[in-house]
Amino acid sequence: MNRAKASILLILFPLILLSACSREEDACVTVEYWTHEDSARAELEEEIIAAFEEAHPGVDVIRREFESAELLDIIAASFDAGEGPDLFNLSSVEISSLLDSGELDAVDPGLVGYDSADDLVRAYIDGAFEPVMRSGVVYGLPLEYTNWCLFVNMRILREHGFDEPPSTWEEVVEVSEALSERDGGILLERGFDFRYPYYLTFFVPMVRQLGGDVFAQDGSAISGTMAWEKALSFMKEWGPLGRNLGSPTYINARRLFDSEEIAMCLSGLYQESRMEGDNPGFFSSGDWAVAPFPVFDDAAGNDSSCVYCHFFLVNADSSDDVRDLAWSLAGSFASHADDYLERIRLVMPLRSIISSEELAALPYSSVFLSDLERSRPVYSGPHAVEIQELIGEAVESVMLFSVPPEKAVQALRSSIEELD
Amino acid sequence: MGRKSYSIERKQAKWGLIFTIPCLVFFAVFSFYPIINALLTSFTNRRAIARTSEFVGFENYVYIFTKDNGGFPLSNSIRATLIFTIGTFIPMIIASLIIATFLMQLRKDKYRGFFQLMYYTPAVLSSVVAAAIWMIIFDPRGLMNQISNFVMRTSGVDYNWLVDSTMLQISTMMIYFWKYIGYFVILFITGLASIPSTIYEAATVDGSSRWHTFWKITLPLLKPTTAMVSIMAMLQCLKTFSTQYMLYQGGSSRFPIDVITMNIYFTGIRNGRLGRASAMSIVLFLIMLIFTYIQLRLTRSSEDVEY
Repeated sequence: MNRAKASILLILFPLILLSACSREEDACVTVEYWTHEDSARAELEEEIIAAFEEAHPGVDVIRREFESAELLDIIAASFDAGEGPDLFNLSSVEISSLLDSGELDAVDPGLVGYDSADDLVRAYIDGAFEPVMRSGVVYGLPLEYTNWCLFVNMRILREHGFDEPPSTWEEVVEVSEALSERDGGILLERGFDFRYPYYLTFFVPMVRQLGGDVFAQDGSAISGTMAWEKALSFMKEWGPLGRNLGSPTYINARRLFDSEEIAMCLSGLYQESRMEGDNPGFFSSGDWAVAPFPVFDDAAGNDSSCVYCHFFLVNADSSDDVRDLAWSLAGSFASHADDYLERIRLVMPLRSIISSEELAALPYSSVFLSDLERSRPVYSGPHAVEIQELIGEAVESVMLFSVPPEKAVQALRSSIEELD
Repeated sequence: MGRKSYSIERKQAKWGLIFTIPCLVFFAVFSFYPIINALLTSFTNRRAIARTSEFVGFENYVYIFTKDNGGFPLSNSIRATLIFTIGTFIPMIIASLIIATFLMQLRKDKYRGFFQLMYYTPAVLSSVVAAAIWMIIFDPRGLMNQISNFVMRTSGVDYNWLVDSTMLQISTMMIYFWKYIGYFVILFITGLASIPSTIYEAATVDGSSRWHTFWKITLPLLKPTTAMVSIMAMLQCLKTFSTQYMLYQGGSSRFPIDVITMNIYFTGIRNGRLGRASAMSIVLFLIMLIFTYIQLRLTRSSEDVEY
């Protein structure tokens, strides 16, 4: 009998402990904030969170970081389990399914520092809210507004006889060919490489330059077959079975640029702050430059890379007080837009930031701003994530498996049309 | 009426049942319930995030067997899974048996312990670390190209370990083989250790050679272990996920290595179609069930072994 009692106590003890803990937690409100990894941003946001917690006694903000590539999967799984975070951020490409299924809370303008929704929208540049607007209601607050330009290590280029950064894709090939080092068929050093998983951001603009698009005016998938075939042929030539200038399996070029292991990469303004942190000598050397997003020689359009935006989003399932706190916290982040710009070179698309002297004073910001004028928002409609994956499969099939571009375009079209 | 008296066997059985209950509860909650739940979900159009769900009968099963599934059909996943399983588990069983036999021949326990530890170490490494190591090895400038060029007597040839469709599949097999062989070696060592040494002594006295002893004594007496190890290895290979996922995350193409579990993950989590993903998981479950049944039938005499 005593043994039985002891066993019951042994089982109950952890439960008693757990219930005691949960009672203690009830004393304060917790706001769970999930975001993608960014060490520079983490430092700033922890400071803002500390100030927010001080201004809101009894509020505990938990900030968790996840790998960018996995954040959407983790958020989707957590929402399905009814355990989604209170505040989180996703990029424009990743938002539509959450938005269309009613999982996101509408922005309360008062909580983010505005008198009305109109005031909020007016404070930001035109189109900034497009991916998070439904029937005139705003469901997200912009965190970072990014377009990519060509970062160039001019020292390496000059050593190989190039005085100017390439301005066309054909020139990018020519410079890369000259800069690449090989041992037979093994590529030892690359001159440039693409940002591979993000095909909607860099590859679709290349297709648009040639006259194609993801959707035609009538909504049918893959308009401008010739343009797609031409862009895919270009990628085939770029890949290991063509001129062997790069491949999706190599280390991301953006990561190698700061350590001067590659001469060119595509990246946003935030690259400057990372460069300054990782390699201050290189940053201050004057050996690097930023050039506009290249275009094809015979381009029909002048598109630069697509512009994408990360948005602060709030879980509609969170309790009323937690949702209010989450929006207040997002508002606090947004109120530090100048710090985001100054310290980590993240651009919030506020009119006051875009036209600020601080932005104009940053190295090569004029190149980014001028490229914005020829940039279109990244596709953020239904199935955006799946469409990006399918475009990726099409590009990789021609680059890595010698699938003819014509066949890859056909397969891409039928796969997109089959999405339901 | 006085207190009931129980026999020792009944008391033991009672305590046996009590000790088994936590395991049964664990199995019911974490294995049986998910299987039933997946079966029920497979007959619905349940979507992740939206959390809507309607009964659709066999629609998901018809879809996964007849449609493209957004460019990643189940038929391709079945192909990728079967190629991976056959290409991995058969060499792994043979190699782990050979290594275990070799280790048992070592006279000093400390050497045996060292090699056991060495072979088992990769199994405790996280998949992320393992993938990072192998991405470096398979890099065009990495070790595998150097070895391949040396073996094939070529120079400067890129064998495209992470690029070419066939090589990519071989790469996943190699990583998996490296990661899990130690586990099966230890299982075989346990089996080998349970064979009484008196049988080997008798064989030696009768003049049996080592080779003859291995084929006529070791292998037949190891049949139960071989059956168990081969079923476990096969099931583990059919469930493979992390190796392929990590290579995909590293930039390799998904299609050649889109094993069923990976397709389930992308269909269910990334694309939010939980009904379809559940139907795929039931198909995988049935494949595993059929293969296990076949293997049990093929090795059914293995239970007859007695020392």
